[in-house]
Amino acid sequence: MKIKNISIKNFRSYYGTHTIELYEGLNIFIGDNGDGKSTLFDSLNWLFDTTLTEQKNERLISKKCLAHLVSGGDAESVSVSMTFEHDGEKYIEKSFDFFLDANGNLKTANYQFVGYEEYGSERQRVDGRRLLDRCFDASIRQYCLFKGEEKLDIFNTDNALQYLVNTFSEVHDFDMFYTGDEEGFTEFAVQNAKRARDVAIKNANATTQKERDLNTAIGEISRQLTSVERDLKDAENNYNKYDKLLTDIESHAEASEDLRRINDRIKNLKERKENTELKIDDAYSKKLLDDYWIMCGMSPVIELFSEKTNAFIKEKQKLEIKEAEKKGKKEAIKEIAAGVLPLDPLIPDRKSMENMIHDEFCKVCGRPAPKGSDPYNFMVQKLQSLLDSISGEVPNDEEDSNLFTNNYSVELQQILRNVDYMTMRINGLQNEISGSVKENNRLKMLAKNFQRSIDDAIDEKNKLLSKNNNITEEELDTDYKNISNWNKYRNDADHSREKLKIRKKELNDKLTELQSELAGISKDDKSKTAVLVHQALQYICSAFAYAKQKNTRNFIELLTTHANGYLKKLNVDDFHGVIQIIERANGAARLQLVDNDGTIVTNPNTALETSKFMSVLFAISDLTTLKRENDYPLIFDAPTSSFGPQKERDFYAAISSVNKQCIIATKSFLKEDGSLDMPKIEHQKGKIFRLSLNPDCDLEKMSTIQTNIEPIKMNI
Amino acid sequence: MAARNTTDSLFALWAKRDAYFETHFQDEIISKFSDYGVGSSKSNEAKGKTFGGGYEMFIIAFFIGLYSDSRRELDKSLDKKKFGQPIEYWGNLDSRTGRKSYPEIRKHIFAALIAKTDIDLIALEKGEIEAGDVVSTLIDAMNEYANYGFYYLAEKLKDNPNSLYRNSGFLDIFLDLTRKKQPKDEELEEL
Repeated sequence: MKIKNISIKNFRSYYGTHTIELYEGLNIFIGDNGDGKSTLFDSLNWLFDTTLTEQKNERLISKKCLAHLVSGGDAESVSVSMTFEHDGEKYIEKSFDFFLDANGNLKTANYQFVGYEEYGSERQRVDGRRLLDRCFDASIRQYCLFKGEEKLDIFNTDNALQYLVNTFSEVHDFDMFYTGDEEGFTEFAVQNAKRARDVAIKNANATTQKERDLNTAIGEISRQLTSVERDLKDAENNYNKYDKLLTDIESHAEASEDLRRINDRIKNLKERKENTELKIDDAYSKKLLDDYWIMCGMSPVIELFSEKTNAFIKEKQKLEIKEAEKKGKKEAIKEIAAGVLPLDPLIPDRKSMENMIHDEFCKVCGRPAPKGSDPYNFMVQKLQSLLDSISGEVPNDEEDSNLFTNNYSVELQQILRNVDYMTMRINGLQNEISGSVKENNRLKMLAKNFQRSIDDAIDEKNKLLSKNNNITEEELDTDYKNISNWNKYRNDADHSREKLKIRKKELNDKLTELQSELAGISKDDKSKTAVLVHQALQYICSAFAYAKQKNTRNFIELLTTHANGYLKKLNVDDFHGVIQIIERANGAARLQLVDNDGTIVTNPNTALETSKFMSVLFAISDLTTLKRENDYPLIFDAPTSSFGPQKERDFYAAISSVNKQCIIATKSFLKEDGSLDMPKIEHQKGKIFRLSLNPDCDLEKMSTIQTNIEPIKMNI
Repeated sequence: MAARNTTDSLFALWAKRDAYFETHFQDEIISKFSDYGVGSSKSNEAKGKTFGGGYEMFIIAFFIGLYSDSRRELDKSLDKKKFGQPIEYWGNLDSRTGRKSYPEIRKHIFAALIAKTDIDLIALEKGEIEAGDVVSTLIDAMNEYANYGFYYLAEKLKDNPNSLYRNSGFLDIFLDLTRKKQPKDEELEEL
């Protein structure tokens, strides 16, 4: 089957009709994000979908076309069609009409899936679905259309290999003879022959003791054999189960190791972050009070308080001294007046003076002082002065009282001492605050850096998990932790499997021996024949089982050989090794890469992984060709998004050398500024088209979106 | 001279008094940042508040006024409210987990009030004026400094409602007020 042309009309961004003539080899559609690559792929996928009978999905309608509709006006249509060569030229078209009714409601109608094929010189209309299923059936289509890199692994489901083998090989033909589940003809015949033999032997007239013993022994051995076969099947299943688990773990071993390392790092970072955060003490508002930070500006106030208190105390003392002086003087007068206080021996007291005046003789000078003389007058004057000074000034005791009735100065002094005691602390507060703020900021920055590192590590972890087929962290971790258990279980199952195989062989040998012996001594022809028939059918059944197994192995070998041929082409310089297809229980399989020295490549890069899957797809396509005597196109949407530019160029060069029709929508060959990389394009052997949005479209308005298809390189 | 006991001291008389504020600040500021008005400090609503008792907000406001060297008379036309907790109990007990007592702040507020008011200490000592009157003067001054502080905070909240909810919201105010003075002093010295 070769697609000659595709026509798309009003399908989502493909406004109007676009017809593309395809090359029988490589066809590349280059477009940036949003230019319509996936829509192109989706349009073909819609055309190839034969599962539904009515497919008038309004979401498929071009919004631009819809915007041009008039209520109650003409209908428009969505259609995708294809002309292809498959035992003659054929054509299929899927379409439906749409219009706005009188109320402006969108309506769809006239869904059609039509086909045309040539009969002789005539072109006849046929059912499109039937034509497609006949030429390009679903079992083949599923190996032909791929969206994105992650969908390329066709072995990611159970029964995938079984399906492949059944679809593309002759092995399925054996099923009517042998299934392995006692449902094939030979298995059925063996069972019936066995029953017939048993009945015949039982009914034989002259059964000897020896025959009875042999029959008993055969019956016992058969029972044992059945039991061993059942156990063997369980052991096989167990072995396969643990083997698959260990293979998965093995392929994830590096990821497990990385995950453990990342988790350890995250744990360590979280601990350090928590410890750092515990050290942060930034309840600054509470510290204002609890740690006295609020007093950081108190120094000048305290100074003022100190000045004021000291001035008060000084003033008070001054007043107290004055008061004391005043008090002292009064006391002296009192005492002098009372004569309690003796005068200087050289100063005569009042009595002596009166005597001296009376005697007219100065006892101080020792000279006479006659009345009227100067010395006499001097004495009289002195006496008068003395009398004046003491007369009427004797202090009254009642007048004596305290100047200050309160003593707050002592209290203020005490408070001053208290605040002085705090002065050193207060003077250091500014430094304490700025030190604390600085330290907290440093710790916060540190915690923030730890958080950033934690976020980076989590990102790294997510990338790691998504790289490993989105396996969950728990699975990876649990598997890794249980690896020794799984190993033990697999070894136990293997050991038991081997033991049971030996036992089965022993029992089979013994059974054959007993059956031969029984056949030899059986007198009765009927029972003899029954034994021989059963024996013969058993041989036939084994032969079919072997043939089926052998054919499956041959198919896998063929597929592997073809895949490796493509892998070599697709990985010219990068990888030197082979793909192996490992068969598993329940019809499943997995692909593995083994390099030239026999090492399994557990974590290939995405480009190599894509090359691996593509090689298998090309190989399947080859086998399809062999089986159906026809070739089929391969259609990919963005299969190389992880490829580097050099790798991409090699990849497309390799694909163009593969003799297959490939339709690939890709972002490759676009430069960073969105322009085409013409030298690279010229290098390709195939048709190249450019998908781009109409320059006048407004990305905010769906009704303006329109994809254009422009042929870039048509000469091969 | 008669011996004085502590209950007679000026500080003790002052500490037995309670502060008061313009009632509107209860909703505008005090309850926003302290447990004031929510009853038990263990109530859920109280958890997470910046301060404990409402008086803590008053202390903050007082020091803002003090460091700004600005007092603002309480508006006579507005209602006033007391905290119901005399000064002597402010910051006395470690009632909330992780909090410390801070008795020195009370002494420093008292010292600041003595320093910043024009009390005739000699007259007080001589008994010419009553201790009770002096204490009233100190309390008035304290309330006026705090009143200035409350208006200052209200303005801050108006300008940027979130500014005080930051860890360093209140600290920044004090650093700002106390640092600003230094360059001014230096400038004066240079002049």
